[in-house]
Amino acid sequence: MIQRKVCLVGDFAVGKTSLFSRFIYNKFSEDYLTTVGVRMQRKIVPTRGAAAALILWDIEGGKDGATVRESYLDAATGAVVVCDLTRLTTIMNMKNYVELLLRVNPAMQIVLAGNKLDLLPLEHAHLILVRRVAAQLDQLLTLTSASTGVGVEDMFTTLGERLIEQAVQQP
Amino acid sequence: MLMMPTLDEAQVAYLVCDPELKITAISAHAAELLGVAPNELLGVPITDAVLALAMSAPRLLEVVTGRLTQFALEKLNLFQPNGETRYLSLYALSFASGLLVILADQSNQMRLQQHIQQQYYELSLLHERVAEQNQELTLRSQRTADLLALVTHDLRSRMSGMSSSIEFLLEPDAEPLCDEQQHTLMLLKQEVDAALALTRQVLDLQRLEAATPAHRYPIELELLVEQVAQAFHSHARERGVTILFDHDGALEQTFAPDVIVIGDGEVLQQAIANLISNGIRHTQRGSTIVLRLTTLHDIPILDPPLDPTQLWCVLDVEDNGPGIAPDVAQRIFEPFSRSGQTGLGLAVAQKAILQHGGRLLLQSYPGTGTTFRVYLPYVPQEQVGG
Ligand SMILES: Nc1nc2c(ncn2[C@@H]2O[C@H](COP(=O)(O)OP(=O)(O)OP(=O)(O)O)[C@@H](O)[C@H]2O)c(=O)[nH]1
Ligand SMILES: [Mg+2]
Repeated sequence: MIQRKVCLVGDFAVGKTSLFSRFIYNKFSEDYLTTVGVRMQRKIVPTRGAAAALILWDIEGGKDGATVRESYLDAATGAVVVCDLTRLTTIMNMKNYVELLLRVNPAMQIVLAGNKLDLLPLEHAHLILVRRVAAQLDQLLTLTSASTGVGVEDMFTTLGERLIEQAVQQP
Repeated sequence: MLMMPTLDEAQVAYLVCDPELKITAISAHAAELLGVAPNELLGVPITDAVLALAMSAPRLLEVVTGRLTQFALEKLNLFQPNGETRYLSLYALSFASGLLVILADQSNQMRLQQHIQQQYYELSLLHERVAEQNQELTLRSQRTADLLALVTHDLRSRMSGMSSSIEFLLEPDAEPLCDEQQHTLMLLKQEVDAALALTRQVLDLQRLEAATPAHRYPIELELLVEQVAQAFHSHARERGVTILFDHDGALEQTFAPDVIVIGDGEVLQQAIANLISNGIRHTQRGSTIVLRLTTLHDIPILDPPLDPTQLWCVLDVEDNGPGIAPDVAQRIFEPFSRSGQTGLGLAVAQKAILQHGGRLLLQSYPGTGTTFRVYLPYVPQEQVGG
């Protein structure tokens, strides 16, 4: 079974830890407890072809520009760049994280997560904006809610599939 | 392996790996931090034993061969059975022909850092939210202001139409009217004209919302004050009120510090006129209004403070009328705060002075009169070259 390292990055309080907990433990908490440093957990995702073991790294958030300790990104081949759909700056800041990730590993498989979907009315202006940002960055966008669980499983499965594809192409 | 007893004595948590990254030694402290029995990990590749290193074999081998001096992973969160988080930092160094991995427990420091970071981020979120709401409110009030301006303009043109129509009816060569009709029309005209004045003030007030005056040129303040006072001369005499100039405390007919204020003369004129007209309206027959323009040597302490790098002058508009009660004085610069008048004059005056970087203050005690004090930054005449 292939094993891949996937990092969760993005501004503070966008919901990285919440997505991590929803995916790994199927749990969610309303309380905000900011992450200092990093924590990791392994989970096997069944994909259409083979299964893949993802080692998820939940990394502390950045403030004022994309700041991620580069040693945390060592050997990562996949990443989720998370934004909070209710906070404009976190949407705009995704670009900086994508650039940083591609600098560290040009072959990095990236998925953008527009999180806290449950807090927005359908067709909020930020939804239009986040789609445009994703198109500009030429990256896949998934809309998620760690609170309701919407989109979370799918997002990691999609990323797992992409990583398997990549492994088949260049083992 | 000479170093090991020393590390053990110093209670350092460490693991030793061979060139293939298999664990060959582990200190008791390290086993405890990782939550395993010491013997359990012997012979196991460190990339299997420590999840944080699972994918980092290439990096670690670079350390073994000396291509990399060190590989560090700081602040790894480990969840304890008791619900607490343990924070470990891991440093891999080349050692003998293999690897020495040191673990440092930084839980105490990191819990404190977590606490501080938590407060900081919560505050930042709050700040973001307030800024957002602020923006929303500004936008909304701007829309209201635009609407008000539109409506006021419209009202103004309709009412000037009405006023001229009434004038037309009252002209001597118009159809004759009975006394009652004439009287009613005159009352009507008075009302319409008052309403017209009000719309003008509303528009003035709106224009004064801008941070700086629309026009900026040097104004001789003394001359300006004199002109305004002249314009009020006959009106004041009708009401039995005297207007006097006072220069530097000695009552004189003229006063002349060469005070040049940079700004919009029309706006300042309006402001001073409103202060004088307020004085005339609220004093009895026989009262005096004294205008006094002085330059300041010592800058008074106001809240918020006046800029000490500027030169400041003071214009007092002082009357010996009945004064203003403290509760009224508190709201005097708010629109429509003073009964019996259109209620915007003082608000307009204050906005105008503020727009010129100045300050308008009120000093009043019931029974002893009222002084409106205008602070304005000025430049000396010689600097303007006139
Ligand atoms: N309604 C709603 N709240 C969410 C969602 N995801 C996260 N939150 C809340 O957002 C806050 C921040 O979530 P975290 O998961 O701690 O954010 P983080 O990105 O890990 O933050 P840092 O560790 O500080 O970088 C918490 O109060 C969560 O309950 C979501 O999908 N919907
Ligand atoms: Mg977190």
